[in-house]
Amino acid sequence: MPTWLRTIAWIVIALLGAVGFAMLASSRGEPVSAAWMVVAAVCTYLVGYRFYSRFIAERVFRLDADRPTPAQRLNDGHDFMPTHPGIVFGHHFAAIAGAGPLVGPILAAQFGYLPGILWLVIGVVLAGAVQDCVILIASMRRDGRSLGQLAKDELGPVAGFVAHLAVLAIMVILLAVLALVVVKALAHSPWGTFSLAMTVPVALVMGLYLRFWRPGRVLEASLFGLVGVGAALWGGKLVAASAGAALWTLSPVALTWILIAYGFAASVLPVWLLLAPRDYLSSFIKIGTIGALAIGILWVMPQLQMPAVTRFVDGTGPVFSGNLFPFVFITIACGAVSGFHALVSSGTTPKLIAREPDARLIGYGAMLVESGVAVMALIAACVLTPGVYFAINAPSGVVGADPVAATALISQWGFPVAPVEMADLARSLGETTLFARTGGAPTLAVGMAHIFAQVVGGPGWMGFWYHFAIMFEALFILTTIDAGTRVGRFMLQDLLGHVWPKVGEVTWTPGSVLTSALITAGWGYFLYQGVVDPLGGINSLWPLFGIANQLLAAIALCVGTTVILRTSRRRYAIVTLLPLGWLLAVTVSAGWQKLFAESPKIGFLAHAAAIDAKLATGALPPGVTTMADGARLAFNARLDALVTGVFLVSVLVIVLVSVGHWIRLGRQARPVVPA
Amino acid sequence: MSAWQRLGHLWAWWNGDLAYHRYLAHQRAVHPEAEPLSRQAFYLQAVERRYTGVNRCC
Repeated sequence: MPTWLRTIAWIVIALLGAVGFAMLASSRGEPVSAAWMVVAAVCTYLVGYRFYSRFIAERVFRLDADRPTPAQRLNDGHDFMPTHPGIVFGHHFAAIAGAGPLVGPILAAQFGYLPGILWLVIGVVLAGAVQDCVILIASMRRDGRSLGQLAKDELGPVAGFVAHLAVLAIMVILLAVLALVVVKALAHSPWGTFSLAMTVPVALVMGLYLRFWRPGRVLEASLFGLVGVGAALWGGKLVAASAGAALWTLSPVALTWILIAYGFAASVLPVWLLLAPRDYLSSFIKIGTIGALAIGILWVMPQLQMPAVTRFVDGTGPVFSGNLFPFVFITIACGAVSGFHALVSSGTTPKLIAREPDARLIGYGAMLVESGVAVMALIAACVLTPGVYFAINAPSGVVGADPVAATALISQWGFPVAPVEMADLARSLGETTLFARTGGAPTLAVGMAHIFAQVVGGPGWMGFWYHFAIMFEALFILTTIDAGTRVGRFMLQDLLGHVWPKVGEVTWTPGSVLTSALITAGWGYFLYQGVVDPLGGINSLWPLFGIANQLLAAIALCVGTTVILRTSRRRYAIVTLLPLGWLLAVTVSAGWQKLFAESPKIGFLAHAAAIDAKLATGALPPGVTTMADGARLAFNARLDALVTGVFLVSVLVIVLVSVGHWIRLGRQARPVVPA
Repeated sequence: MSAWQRLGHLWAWWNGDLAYHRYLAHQRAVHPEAEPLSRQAFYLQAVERRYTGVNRCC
């Protein structure tokens, strides 16, 4: 293709993207088509990939197709293996795409669709994809070392230790918040609970099949698994309509105990029995459903009912409290910038890369696709009428438990909704109620049901599509929980092994059972706290997770900056310093507010003080039934404050250490060492 | 290989169905004198390794 034609094509793409944003930003009251959101996002991703990632690959790092990668040099037939870039992309994307991009944008929709889409698209191109790509390249050029090891190598043992600790803490919070999403989605839902429960025996059968009968035949076993899951979904409908429905209608607290027991069991049982088959199954379902959602959105091109910006940018939002800045940037992490991805980018992926230039497609490209998934989730949330969205996502601690009073309050806010409307919607979906189904998963499921029903099945299939969507999300969240508990166990064993060497031995069963129990107890505690919180645990746990995640991203970007500063192209460190600066501004101000804000709705310490004051007068805080519960609520708020404080201090330590290194590097003569 | 065959090959590779073949080829090339693992043993080892270390995000 001649150069002038290529140039014109790119100018057209850039202009099209600009038009998309203009249409999104200039809507005044009338619903905007989701098409504009898709156009704006896709055009920006294309421009970002073509120009910015090429700049990073060719100018900053000088990726060289002739330079041997660790996969080639250290080829051992299992971990280090040169692999086709399409395959590595698939594995890397499946590893980074979890429930994060599906929950964050749904919650952030309370601000309207515009803040979410802007942060998603601009954030991923300038920060998220940059982080993933830089860490992938840095790790690849250091024989696949992990982020913790890179931090230790580049920034010293103190930074390395702090990074390890931060990762363990983030893991615990992440598992708790994901488990909370599942609990909120399945509470009082016999169809959902039955279907998800049945996936466990299906996975067990798959595991036995793969172990004894046909080892390694993943595709065959997964086909059986898919059929089994489909049957579980259908069976759920029958069970919900039958006399057995009461058995499967579980309260949030009951589900909490079941999830904790399940998480512990799945992480100590042999991996081939439950964890691995669940993982194969959920990878297929995840990628298939994401693909189907993309096709569905393109086919239907729904209207966005949510306004561009709502009144809740002022911080009074029901879904979570806090101003637009900094909280929208904390709520949407995966999809824009996610520190956890740096762990995956420095995990198995760098050991599989066959040629250095592949790292651009895999590191930058996979993150762009995940951002696309997040955009689809945002669309799914915004196709609901705003009144319905808030009725589903406002916790009962904010709007009350009575449907009539809740809908009246929400209508007063300017988002009309009627109790009849909510009752009809619930009935059409095969649920008893949709009120206070917080956590993002039910909202996504309702949005997906609307879209899918317009493609296949019509209104009669809404219930099936809704429960399909719930099960799809719950399925791979559960897999994240089992795998995450197991990973957390290894990290804890590693850490404790320094003081009690016997525990550090991964093959010593009592040690692994003990550490699994500790990790499970860790996230189980935060889960329980979130489930009994009258304000809805999402309000306190999700910002905690977001802050932790973005802080890990800041750590990764510090490592990335140091790596670039060691090369001969030091001025290009701006590529990582720009997102680092932004992330620090956002997470430090968010962390500060969560600690010290005067409003009890935002600040953890203010919340604890308000509860104490109320208890001191002999009254009970709203949503609490006993004095002991009230005291525990105050304690939990202080615990959340402590965790926030620990995260903030950790990242400040690492930034200080990094700046020290950078100043030293700046004083040295220009090195001629390749990155 | 035709385009369809190539696609099928990639699909089998991504699913992990080709992992044992590639392992055998690697063993023949690099350690011809060593006894390769059975399919079952290889699968067990691969699965154990896969779930050690951070391998997925949120």
